[in-house]
Amino acid sequence: MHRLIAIPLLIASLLGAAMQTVAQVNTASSLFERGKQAVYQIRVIDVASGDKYSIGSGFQVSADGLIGTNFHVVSAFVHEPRKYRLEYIRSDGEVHPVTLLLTDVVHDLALLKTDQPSETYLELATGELVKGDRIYSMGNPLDLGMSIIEGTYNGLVENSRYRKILFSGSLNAGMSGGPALDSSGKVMGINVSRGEEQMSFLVPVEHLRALLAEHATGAEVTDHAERIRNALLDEQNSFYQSLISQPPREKALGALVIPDRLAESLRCWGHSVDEEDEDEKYTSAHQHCRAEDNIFVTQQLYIGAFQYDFELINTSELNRFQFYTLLQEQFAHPSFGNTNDKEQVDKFACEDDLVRINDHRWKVSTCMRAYKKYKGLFDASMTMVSMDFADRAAVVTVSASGISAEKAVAVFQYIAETVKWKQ
Amino acid sequence: MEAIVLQVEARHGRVAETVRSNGDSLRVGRAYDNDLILTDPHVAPYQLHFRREGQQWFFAVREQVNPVFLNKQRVTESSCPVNPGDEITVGRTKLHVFPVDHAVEPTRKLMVSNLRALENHGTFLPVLALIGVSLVDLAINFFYSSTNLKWLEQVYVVLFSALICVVWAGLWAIAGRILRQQHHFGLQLIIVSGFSLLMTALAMISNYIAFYSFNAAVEEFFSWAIYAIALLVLFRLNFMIATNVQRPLLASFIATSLLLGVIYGVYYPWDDEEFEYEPVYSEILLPPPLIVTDGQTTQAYFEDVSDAFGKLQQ
Repeated sequence: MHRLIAIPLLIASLLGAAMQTVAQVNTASSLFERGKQAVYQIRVIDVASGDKYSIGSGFQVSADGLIGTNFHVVSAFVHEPRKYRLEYIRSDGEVHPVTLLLTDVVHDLALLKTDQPSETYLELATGELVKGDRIYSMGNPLDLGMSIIEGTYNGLVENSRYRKILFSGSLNAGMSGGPALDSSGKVMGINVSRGEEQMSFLVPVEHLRALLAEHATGAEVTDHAERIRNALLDEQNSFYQSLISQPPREKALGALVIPDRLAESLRCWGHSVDEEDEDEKYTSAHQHCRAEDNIFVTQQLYIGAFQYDFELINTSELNRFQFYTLLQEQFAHPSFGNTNDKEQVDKFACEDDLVRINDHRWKVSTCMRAYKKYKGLFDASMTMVSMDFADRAAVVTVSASGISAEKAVAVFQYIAETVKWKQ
Repeated sequence: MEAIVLQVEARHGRVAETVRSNGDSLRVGRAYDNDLILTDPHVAPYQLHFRREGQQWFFAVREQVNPVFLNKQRVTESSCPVNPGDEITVGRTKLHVFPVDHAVEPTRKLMVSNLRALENHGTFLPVLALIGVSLVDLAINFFYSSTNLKWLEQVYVVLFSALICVVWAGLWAIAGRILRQQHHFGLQLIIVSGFSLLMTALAMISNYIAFYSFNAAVEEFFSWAIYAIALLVLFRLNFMIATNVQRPLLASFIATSLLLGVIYGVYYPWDDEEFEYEPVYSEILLPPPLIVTDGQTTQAYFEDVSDAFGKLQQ
């Protein structure tokens, strides 16, 4: 009897699952059919050779031919407009030139325009999605042909300076700038980057909507480099101002008082070295925090990294000379790793001195290098080590890439003055 | 000219053979009955014969196996007049002609006579010096850096330094053997061991002085300056013992400059692609009792940092 009931139930559930899968296939295929007329491959063409330098995706968002894509897709043209030109390819293979209107370097967006628009375009979504909703990303992966990828909406990335949607799907190179659609076929995000396996990121559509609104006001940009510089400066200034505008929340790291996490968007970690674990003659405890968001400016320059590290070191076995030899090894500037291009950055200059901070002596070194193409922006780092005790010390390092001089000094001073020894 | 003086190969740093004419004639060659006996196998047993006629000296070439040159001109005449300052080339040997009243340099003071007394102890003292210096190096390494000191590694480092000292002393001993027929290996080894000790002491002193500069360039200058000073002292003694150069200090200066130039070239190759990407800052730290200043205020320091940023912006 049980078996008789169970068999129809099993058949019913199998049928249900199959129908759901068919429905999903239908959604993806119908979205693709509707969307492909408005999704293009964007190409940056090297003028001298006449061949493509880089490729990405883009999509038409208005009847009059406005196209959204990523800034990094067209950045080569933005930085060297004489060397490159822009064009796009429709799904039917037609190639047309396209012009650059506006950029949003911080959110990695660009607005383009074509004089030969397609009749179809994609609408921007206005509703909210909930985690688990199916979304569909379109683009031209690896120059292999227009594709659609199905994945899951997982909300905004937590602990991030810039709003990004976590997309559990697999974006590939070449899909950057393509649209991510909700099940009704409206654009809810723009493909931007991929993380680990089956984890990718989208730019929320409201940033594209902001660019469209700016365009609607008649805004015209003649100097894109200046616009990028201003956008970077504004964004960095606003971030660092928010860090230092509040009195620091203090926390203890052994005998040391340090500032607690300076911003919610920072990720903080800790680790320690134990005398027994590591076979060392000292113990140390670290707390380090970092902003893991880099802004793409060019292939050779990423900015926006910010990190700091507090390390407390104690010893009962080392004599003072040995201990300060150890400290000298720890007293180092963190590396930036954002660029190795002489065309982008100048040489480092450093200011080093013995400084009395909160009644204790510290050796402090601050180094900085200016950006050559973005006046007013710097890479800056500070490292400081306490110099008053023979058996304990603190080493503090801070680094920020793409920061203004004023904010670098303010942030470094804010952190330096917060660190103190407990009485 | 009553008499002439012939000097063989008056190159600085080598022992020169010199002969003064006695009477109206002077014979030069490889045979043992000449007045000036040359050991050059390219010289004939009876090669040159100098004669005085009145106040003028002449020389005749007695064998023609190899050509003879007077002031780089081949001698073809049977008798050639010769004057002070002339240079005669026979075989591979050069002879210089001087008048008997030619001024000689003042007597040099034998500055290392006391050091030479050390050699009476044979190799015992030099080896003892080398071991002593190596042990001092080992002790200092331990005293300064035992956070993860690997003894065997340190012993290898010290042994390698000792080997370099021995090789250095050996090379100068060879130079001494060639140029002065005396090797003075033991003395050279004592000197190079002393150099090693001097380097260690100077490095510690320069670290202390450089710390107060709070300036990476000054720190770098001091690290090179101690090399320069110590090398200058080392070369000065090496040259003095192994050669007869007239200006050992100048020779030491040139040798030091060349050696440091080579080392600098290796450290800082002209291809400077990497130089942009690492900050160069003041790295030296000293433990608390050695720090005698109080440091500037936070406000003053960050004003300096602001100024530094300002300069970069211009």
